[in-house]
Amino acid sequence: MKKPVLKISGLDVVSSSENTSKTILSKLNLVVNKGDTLGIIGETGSGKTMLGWSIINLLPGGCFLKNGDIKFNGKNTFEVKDLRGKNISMIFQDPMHSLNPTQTIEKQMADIIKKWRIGEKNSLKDEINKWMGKVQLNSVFDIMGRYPHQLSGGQIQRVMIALAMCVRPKIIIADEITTGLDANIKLEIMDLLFSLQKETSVALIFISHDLFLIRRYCDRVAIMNSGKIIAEDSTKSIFNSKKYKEIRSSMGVNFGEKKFEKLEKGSSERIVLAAKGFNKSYGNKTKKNHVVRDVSINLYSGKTLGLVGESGSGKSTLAKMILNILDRDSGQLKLTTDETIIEDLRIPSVEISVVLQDHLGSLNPKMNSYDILLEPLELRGIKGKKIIENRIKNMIHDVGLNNNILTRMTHSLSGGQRQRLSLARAMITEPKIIIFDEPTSALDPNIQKRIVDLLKSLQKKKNLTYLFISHDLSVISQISHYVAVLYRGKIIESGLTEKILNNPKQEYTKKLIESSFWMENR
Amino acid sequence: MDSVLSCVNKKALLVTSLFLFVLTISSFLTPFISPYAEDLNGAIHLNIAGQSPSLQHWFGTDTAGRDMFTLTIYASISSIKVAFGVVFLSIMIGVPIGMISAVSNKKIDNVVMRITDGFLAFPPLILPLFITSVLGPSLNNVIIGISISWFPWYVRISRSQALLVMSTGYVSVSRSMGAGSFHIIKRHILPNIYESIIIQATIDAGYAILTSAGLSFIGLGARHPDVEWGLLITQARAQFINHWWEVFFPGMFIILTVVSFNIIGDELKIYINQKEKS
Repeated sequence: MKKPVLKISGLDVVSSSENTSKTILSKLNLVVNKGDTLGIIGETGSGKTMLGWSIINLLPGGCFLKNGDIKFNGKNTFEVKDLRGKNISMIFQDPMHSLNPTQTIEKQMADIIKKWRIGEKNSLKDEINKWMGKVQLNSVFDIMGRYPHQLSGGQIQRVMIALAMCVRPKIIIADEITTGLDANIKLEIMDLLFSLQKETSVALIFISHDLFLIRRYCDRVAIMNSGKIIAEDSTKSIFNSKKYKEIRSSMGVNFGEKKFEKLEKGSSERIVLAAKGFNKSYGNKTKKNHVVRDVSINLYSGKTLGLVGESGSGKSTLAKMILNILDRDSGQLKLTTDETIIEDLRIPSVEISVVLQDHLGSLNPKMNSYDILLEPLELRGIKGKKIIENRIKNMIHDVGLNNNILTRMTHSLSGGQRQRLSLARAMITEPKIIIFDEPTSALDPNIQKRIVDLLKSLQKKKNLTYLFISHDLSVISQISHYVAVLYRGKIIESGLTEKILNNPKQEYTKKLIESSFWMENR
Repeated sequence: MDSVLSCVNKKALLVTSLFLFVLTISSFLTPFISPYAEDLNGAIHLNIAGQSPSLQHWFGTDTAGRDMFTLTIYASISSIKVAFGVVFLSIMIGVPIGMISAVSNKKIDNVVMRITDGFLAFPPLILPLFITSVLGPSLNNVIIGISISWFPWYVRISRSQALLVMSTGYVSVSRSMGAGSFHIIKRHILPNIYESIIIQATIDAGYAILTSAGLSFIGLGARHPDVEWGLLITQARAQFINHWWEVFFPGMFIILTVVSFNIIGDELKIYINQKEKS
């Protein structure tokens, strides 16, 4: 039997201010054995990160441990000398802010290694080189002399893994370390972390809301909800056993399974929007950076085209050009509606709306919900107080919100509510086409699912045409009838979703599918 | 510790705001309630000239026998006029230019910014000095001079803040719905940048007083019979060794007013940052 390295029993953590006290973690029990990979999943605010902080005795101000204890190797964590760093390492969510921006990678590595006097036989430089090799960064030119801002998100996360691993801790806590990384890079980072983990047999606590990654990499899973662990079992049982069916469906666990939108027989093939030969480049005559190269797409009436690609592949640039808020270098945009045909659309059209990824950043923080919905109506010249009020109330109802949010400021709404509000704003002028730029990537899986379901029902009800942009193929496949794969500004593959997912031609598409869907034969 | 600090900060804010409020009110009331109100119109009492602070004359008297307390308090009208005048003019000129520059195309933006750079290339006191000497010494010309020299800072601040707003999702969405530059400025930029402008304006108000006192001191600002702190100091500087109170009290009020505006500006900044964080 494996030896437990960490044992949490009856843990209660509360946050208290002047007159209120709120329970953050309640009656939490958890055992982590040597070499274990434990996945912790849960919605935002379920207490996952707080659990990580409690383990390393780094609770934020105002929060404290009320009951229970956390034992590391049989000893209370408060009594363990050098608990943080040497015994337990934590890799944080936002790597860019976890590294010192004014120091080189070498200096930051050296500081850690020197502090814990590891690898005394090797010289300091050799030790750092060894770890850079292990995280496959040694091929990057002058990696030692670089500053954090000179590295990509994936590279920084590798440095963080090296920093956490080089002290040879007994436990590593990885808190949402893949958030914000592309699907391919996400897998590379996870492969690396888990291969190093197997090598050193360190226990790994992997906190994430990405069910696909948890399912792929962890041996055991604990599901958290409102500060409690509501289920803990082997990964296989959690994802397959009937016992956890209800929990699974409440969390939107279906995501990650290969399921897609099929075209109904005899559905129309009328093109409403056709972008032809779109090009966009930045820079000057001598050095040009082609962001979008000869891209052509067609949007069919009442259908969804999913546009998938990694960050920097030109997805958002293409969306901006279709919206006509960014000039294109060349290309033609033909809009065909029941009323009009525009051969080359060059100004923002009332028929095309947009919903953006960053639901907080896409709503003006100084406006309340009512004003946000009023703006598009004003811009389209719709007048009459009664007409406007009715329209806003109907729209709010359509997207599943209550009238009482109309007076609230956007920061007081939840992520899902904000995204519904963005959707209401996009639809209030009754456009025919809506562009979604990563609309669900900042949301929890279960909220993602609800939003996708809402989009589907609204599409059917109002015969809307969607262009759905995402880096997550699993989300795209849930809603899109057609898929186009954008790679370095070019469309490398496109067609029916079913066809692309089952029979991808391009290597890149195959990799994307592998990194987005659960394969039984992993 | 945090609560102790915030308590101290709150007290400082209360004291400074109260100081400025009482100063403003009493300066307007001085001509009506001071027993030495005629001194404000240039009355001379040689029999009581150069008296040190006493119960009759709290801040002493100057070489013409005028009551320094009455003069010092009344002089704050000029200073407050300068503070508000300069800040108002600078904002009125600078903020619209900055916002228009941010929403305009690159060419216009470049031209505006280079002109702004040209203004900013002058050392802080040289341009107001030049302008007031061309327009002639008076308090209004001091306001114009300082404003012309300071508005480029407001162009900079409002432009940089406006550019931040321009890069947000809600402006993109607004533009995709056909919003023009004026709509974006009115609905999105202005409501999101006015707080930083007010913070800057509060801090600048203090420095405007300091600059105007400096200009008056070298004879380019307020002139007799106007009463102004810088002017009071320059009139008394020859007797500084023997009659310290004539320089000390106006000087003291300059310091207190500038520090008060700075504290209010800082507190405002902290308050707004906290509000944004929460």
